[in-house]
Amino acid sequence: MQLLNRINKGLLLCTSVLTLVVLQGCENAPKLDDSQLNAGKANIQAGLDISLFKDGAFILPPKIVDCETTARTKTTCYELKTSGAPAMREPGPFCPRNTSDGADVGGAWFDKSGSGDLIDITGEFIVNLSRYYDDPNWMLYDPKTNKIRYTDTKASCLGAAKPDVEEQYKQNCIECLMSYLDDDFSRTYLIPTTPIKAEEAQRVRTVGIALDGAELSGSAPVDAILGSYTIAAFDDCGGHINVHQGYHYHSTTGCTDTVTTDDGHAPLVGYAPDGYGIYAMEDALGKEESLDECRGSTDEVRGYHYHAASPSENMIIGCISGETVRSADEHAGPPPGADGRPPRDGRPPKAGKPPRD
Amino acid sequence: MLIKSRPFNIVYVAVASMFLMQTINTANAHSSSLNKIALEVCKQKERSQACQYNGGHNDLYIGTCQYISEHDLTCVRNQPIQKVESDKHSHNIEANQKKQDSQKDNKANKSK
Repeated sequence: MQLLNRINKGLLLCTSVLTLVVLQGCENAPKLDDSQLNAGKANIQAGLDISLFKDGAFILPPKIVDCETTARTKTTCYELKTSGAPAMREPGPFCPRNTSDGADVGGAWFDKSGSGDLIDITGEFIVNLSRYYDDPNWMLYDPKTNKIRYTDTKASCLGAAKPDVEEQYKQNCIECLMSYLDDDFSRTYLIPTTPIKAEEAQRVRTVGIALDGAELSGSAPVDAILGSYTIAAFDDCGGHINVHQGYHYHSTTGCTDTVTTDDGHAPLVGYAPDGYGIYAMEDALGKEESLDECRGSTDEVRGYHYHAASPSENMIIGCISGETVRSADEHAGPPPGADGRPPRDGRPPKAGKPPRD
Repeated sequence: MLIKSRPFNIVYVAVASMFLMQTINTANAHSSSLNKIALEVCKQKERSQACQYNGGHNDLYIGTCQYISEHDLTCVRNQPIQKVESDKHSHNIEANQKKQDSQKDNKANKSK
């Protein structure tokens, strides 16, 4: 008992001394004057930092060119030319081949709850699509052979990955390969070297460019895709391929995340077409902050920047806050291809039965 | 007959009703894809107007309507996902909606 009392007294003394030291330390801590605060502001990471892109992200060295924004502001832009493929990795896998295949064979898709991580496209997921979407017409596999129907040729990729999915390609897991792209396929991005805040936010056409050089794309037209009884499979990084955009992301799952500061802020994912950075949704503690209507925020280190939404939300950012420059190959509106656009009459197919083969 | 007494009957019915209500609530959130719901809540709204919807698993998504294409608006979440107790859920949505709409109105009036 005496020993315990002594320990307690000792602890109390230590705590008191420590508190005094800390308080003294706080009092003596140098206070930042105005010039120091301004110096801090001068370090704001304004605009795109080429050095943060992965090796191989570009097929030509980035250059600075004169450009004019859609708001007719004359400025300079980075001209970034990419191959349409993510640097330093092979895209895929996308569609599983057999109903017994596990998560390692297939890719991922939006969780229908629209929150959190993507869900794995396993053989079991394909078998249970009818239950998952509460629609008995789903049948992406042959029950006799247990083989999963997927677009295994360039022709089927082109037939399925387009606005009005050809009848024979409905009821397919869609996957396209980089080899289906034209030999001279490339993407060019023109991004202001110094972001210019726009008077009014613009709608998202292209979300931006990821740090591996692949496109960050707008929302996938999920209702049109599902309405054709197709799954436009992503790989585990949240991207897929079409012949118009190459490999592009519809969600961010951490594959291009790059920690740029040691302040616990969310890692950088890529850049928006206005030059502002796009960061992951959560900070190092897993917290998400309140954002503006474009999913943007401002702090003294990064200046204005965006935060990506969660992988299954089918959007990366909500709108574009800065002025942008239309690149020659930029798509207006939701991209065609593997994303599929709504059928021209805007309605899902009437007969969703599987092909007879 | 296992259920004989009246108080027990009332409790049984109440519990069953609560379970049913919760099931219906969840079914609503799951009966169509989230994108449809996000589009639906912005159908009668204009750009930048407040919106919110149940994202499933009692997740409340709060944001504003933004153009997803030339003509279609969708609800873009800009607040951290909130977990809502299912029985309080519809009340909270209504209250939040009113609060956000009145804030918007106040802003609009001030700018005038």
